[in-house]
Amino acid sequence: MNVLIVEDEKSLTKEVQAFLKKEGYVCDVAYTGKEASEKIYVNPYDFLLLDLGLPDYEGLDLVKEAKEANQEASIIILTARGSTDDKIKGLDLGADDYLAKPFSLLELSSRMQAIIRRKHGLKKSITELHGFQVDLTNRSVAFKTNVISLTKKEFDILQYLLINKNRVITRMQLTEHIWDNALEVDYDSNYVDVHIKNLRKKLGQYKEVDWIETVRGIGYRLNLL
Amino acid sequence: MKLYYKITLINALTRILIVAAFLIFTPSLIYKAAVGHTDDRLKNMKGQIVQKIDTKGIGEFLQEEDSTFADYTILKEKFISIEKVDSLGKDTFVTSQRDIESEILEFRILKHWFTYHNTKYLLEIGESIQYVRDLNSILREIALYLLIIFITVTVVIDLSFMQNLLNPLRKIESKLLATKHPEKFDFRHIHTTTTDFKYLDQTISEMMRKIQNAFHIEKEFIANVSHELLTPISILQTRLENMLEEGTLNEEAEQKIIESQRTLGRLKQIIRSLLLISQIENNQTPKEDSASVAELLKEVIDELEVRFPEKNISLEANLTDDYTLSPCNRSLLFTMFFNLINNAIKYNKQDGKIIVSTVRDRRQFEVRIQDTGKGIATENLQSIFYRFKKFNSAGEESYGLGLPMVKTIADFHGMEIKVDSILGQGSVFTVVIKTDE
Repeated sequence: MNVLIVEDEKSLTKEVQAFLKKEGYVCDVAYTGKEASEKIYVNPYDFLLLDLGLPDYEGLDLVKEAKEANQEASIIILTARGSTDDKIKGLDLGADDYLAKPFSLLELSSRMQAIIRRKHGLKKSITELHGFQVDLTNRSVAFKTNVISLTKKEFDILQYLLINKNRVITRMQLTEHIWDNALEVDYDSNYVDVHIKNLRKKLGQYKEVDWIETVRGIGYRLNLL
Repeated sequence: MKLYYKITLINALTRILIVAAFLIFTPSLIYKAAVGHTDDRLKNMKGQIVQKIDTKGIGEFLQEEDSTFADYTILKEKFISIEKVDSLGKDTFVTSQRDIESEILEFRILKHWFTYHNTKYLLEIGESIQYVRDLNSILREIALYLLIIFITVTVVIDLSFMQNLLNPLRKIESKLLATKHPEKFDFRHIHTTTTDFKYLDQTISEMMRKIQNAFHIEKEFIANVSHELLTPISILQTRLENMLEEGTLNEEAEQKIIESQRTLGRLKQIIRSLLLISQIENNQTPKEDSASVAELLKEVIDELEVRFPEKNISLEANLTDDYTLSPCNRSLLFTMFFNLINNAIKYNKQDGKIIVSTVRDRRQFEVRIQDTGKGIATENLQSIFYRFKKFNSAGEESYGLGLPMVKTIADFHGMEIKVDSILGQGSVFTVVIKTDE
């Protein structure tokens, strides 16, 4: 998977690049709009991570160019401008997703995975999870023939842990993930513990849920081989 | 009252005043003129009679044995009388009523005393001025009708003239009324030949331009600040995440990084909230949704239910009355109700209670959120909606922006927020939505 990171802030680019490399992506970077514009025409990319606030370029123009030159590429807009106008315009122009700065790297990779799943068809829509069947498309969980009713937030948490399986997810990361659209609400991270408790209780009625592990002082990990 | 009606009313009133004065004063003026004229004639007649007596003797009028002489013209409009008297006086004019053949008539009389052959006489020459009275009453009637017609015609002319004259003002007025936000102002000039209105129109346009400019600067400032502040936070956040991902840190360092992430999260939330408040205040958030209040409240309650067991809180929801808000911003309203109900949980006591109810009135719709929490001191009630004021949240995760956000969102939707609170017993937050518009 080839990724082009278009971002004028070098330190941020470095961190994103380091993270994505570890995740197995091949990364290329462009620090200016001009550079990005040239690279888009030359190389085929699977992903474009686009900062809208470039000093030399109108970010939304890059979305247009990329759609012309690199039709296969999935575009994720990264911006600190935070205006809903930009978001709507960006998505209208054909961007696949939108992530407001500051974002979590884990959230970024989850969004990228979601796009990959969406674009390349779902080989298996249902994931086997220690005897539970998790349907990521229809957002449902079942144990054998019993459908388990989860709230939206409970499912979001389970899905996020599943996508990032075998990895410690902090409370902060989980909180930001489930509150993404309403980050301005007066939330606090204690919610996550309550949701996890309820999730364990609901699943635990059918089978022991020792595979959702509490990592003391940090967060949670879903273990799945 | 509209300027247009005021001017017309003043015009009409001054005209009525002038007309009234005319009606009151003209009869007496006419009367005075007529009397003066009559007096001249009487003087003239007196001269003729005196001359006649001088040349022909008093015998022409009065015999020796008679003491009075009186003569009326056929139509009784004039008379002459001479009588013997004991004393003399100065010539005088009098007005008096005379009963002539059972008809009371008003006469102007010249009294003249003279001596003839050692005998004193009084000569009276009279002329009826009754016609002046009669004329006056006729004139008054005609004038009244004419003036009523005059006033009506001029008022009608005034009204239509004023309407045309003040039309530009009305256009300016409707332009301003249509401008709900300076951003939406119509800069097209109003066509008028009246320089005052031209000036007014230009001044308003200039002001609006200045306001728009200020708004744009502020918008740009918000965009820049958000970029400037959020970019370094972004770098820090990703760096801390990468450090944790490495997995090479010892447990203590890991804990410190987790704590730093929390602090950073707090900073992020504060900046985002401040930005959102500014964006709402600058009308940069859309208002295009339609939402049922009861549904929104149910969603918020569903979302927050997980927190009830913490303090064993029971919630009672009376949401039978509903109201559909349109246009509105659904996600902002969600945030507003979320913050209010979340506060009711956060500041509640163990085994507390929350009552969420909707009440539909004739003119308004109310959402009441009542808790059995710590309450707010009366002296603090005024300032709870100010940014970064926090009173009783020791140990709680709050940055003092929840209620300012609520207020901003309410203002954005033209709603009112009321608070009643008794310290130690609880608070009631009421969202008032006007429905009569």
